[in-house]
Amino acid sequence: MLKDALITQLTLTGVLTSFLYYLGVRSLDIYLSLYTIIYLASMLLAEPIPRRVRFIHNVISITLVAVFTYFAALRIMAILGVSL
Amino acid sequence: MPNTRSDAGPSLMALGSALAVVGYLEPGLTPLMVLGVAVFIIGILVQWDEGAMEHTIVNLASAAWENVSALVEASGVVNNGIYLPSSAVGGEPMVLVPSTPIAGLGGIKIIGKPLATYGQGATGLLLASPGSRAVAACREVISSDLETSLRNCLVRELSLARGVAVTEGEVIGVRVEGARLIDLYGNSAIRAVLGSAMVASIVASITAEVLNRPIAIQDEARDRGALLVRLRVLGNA
Repeated sequence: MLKDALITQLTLTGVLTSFLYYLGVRSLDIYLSLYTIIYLASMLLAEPIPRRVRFIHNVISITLVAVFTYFAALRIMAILGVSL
Repeated sequence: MPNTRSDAGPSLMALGSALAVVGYLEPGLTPLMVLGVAVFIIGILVQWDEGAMEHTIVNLASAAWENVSALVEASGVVNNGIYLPSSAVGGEPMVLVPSTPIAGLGGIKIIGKPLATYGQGATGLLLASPGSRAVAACREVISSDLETSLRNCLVRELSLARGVAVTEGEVIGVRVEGARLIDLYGNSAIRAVLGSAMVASIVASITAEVLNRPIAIQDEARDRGALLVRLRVLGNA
């Protein structure tokens, strides 16, 4: 089951990065944010995740969501005109 | 983590790191960096997933070994098991647990499983072991050469080790490289009967089958990732 999730994840990530690159997107935050969504969605295919893998999956998920939140916050602050 | 080994996880992590570094250093290759991160994360998951389910299954199935262990203890025959070839017992190779420690075996007569008589009428228990199942699974790749048979079965057929080397003599030494040391028996008494490592039991059963002689595990030792099993040949089957 984890195998299905990982194959899906890598395929979608490959397709997405190729397409965004073709469109001329060079911004890291867009790539990482979309990868985070792909990761979280594709890992649903691996449910129920074995207990030991669940721990590392939680660590990776929290890290990716934290990075996603950071980039999203920067974008929102830019829209609101707030600077650090 | 159980002592399982795989190259897939570390390989993906190394590849992912390389891709991410190249993507980071080379301007305009941001997608490559993200692909590197994706491959690295997949490597981590593959590495942690290795053996996760088999660990759970072995843990649940350990109840069976506890029951066998309790029965063996109750019958008072906790001695080193003697691995018998299939020709000695008919059907699959089995382990004879003798009622008294013995140096050799006379004729073995099966009263009715799990009981058998041997030598001068002594009684012992006949048990199936992981080795019995391994011999059944490897029947087609077992030949008259011991090292080739062990390698074909443990490495190619069952994927339980990376390599096998045999030193033949009065005591047969078998060095199993990169063995998957799955703990089937826990701390039960059956460990003293069948040998502590599942791989040792398989090695003993295949050796008994190839040599067509009863075999006892003399001792086991770990040496830098390898399992050393010394086997004693007990006589004619």
